[in-house]
Amino acid sequence: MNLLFVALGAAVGGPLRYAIDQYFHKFTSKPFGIFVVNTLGSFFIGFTYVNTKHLHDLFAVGFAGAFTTWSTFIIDIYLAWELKRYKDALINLFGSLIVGLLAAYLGILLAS
Amino acid sequence: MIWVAIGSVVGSLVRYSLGVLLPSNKPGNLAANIIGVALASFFLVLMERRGITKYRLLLLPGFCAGLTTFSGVTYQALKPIDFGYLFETLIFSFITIAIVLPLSRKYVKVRS
Repeated sequence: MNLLFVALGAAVGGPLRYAIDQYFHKFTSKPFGIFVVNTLGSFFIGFTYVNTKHLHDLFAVGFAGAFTTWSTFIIDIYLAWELKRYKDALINLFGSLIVGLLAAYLGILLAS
Repeated sequence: MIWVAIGSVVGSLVRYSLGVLLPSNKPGNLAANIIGVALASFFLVLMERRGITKYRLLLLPGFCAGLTTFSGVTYQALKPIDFGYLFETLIFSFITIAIVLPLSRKYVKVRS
């Protein structure tokens, strides 16, 4: 049963992430789309974490887990660093983490 | 879009299963993120060198992005406050990509 809730959340979160990222790629080659989904997803997981087990699996593990991505975030930073775009890499690294942490904190505050 | 959804669902179910197999979500998410970074680094080189575009959506924005989670890291770093977890995930991720990406570039040859 838990697996079903995780799968349902991921079936929505994954394609939504991809659609938002593709939309931002129309305007920029910089990873703004991933920044936006990671920030929104961090807020969402903070806001919905205190829930019943099923809702936790649906929203936190399934939806927010699949909506946000760690692999793309790390690869973007590493490739920017390799291309000697050090400023871009550092802005992405620290900007995403600081804003992501603040977003999760805000979500927890609003939920409690 | 359907391939992104299928990949995201499978990736999220693997992440969930790691959280069940390991003592808690914390090491589960850490393992999922490290494995996801390693696989995404390898797939990126494989697809670029071999010109494989057919499985790209299923494997990269689908499976690898669904397996890894940014929101899981920001949330775990805050509740309770544990920035050590954040640094641990970052350091292991960068070590992983710094090993897997060059090795993949060395051993995955361009198909002639």
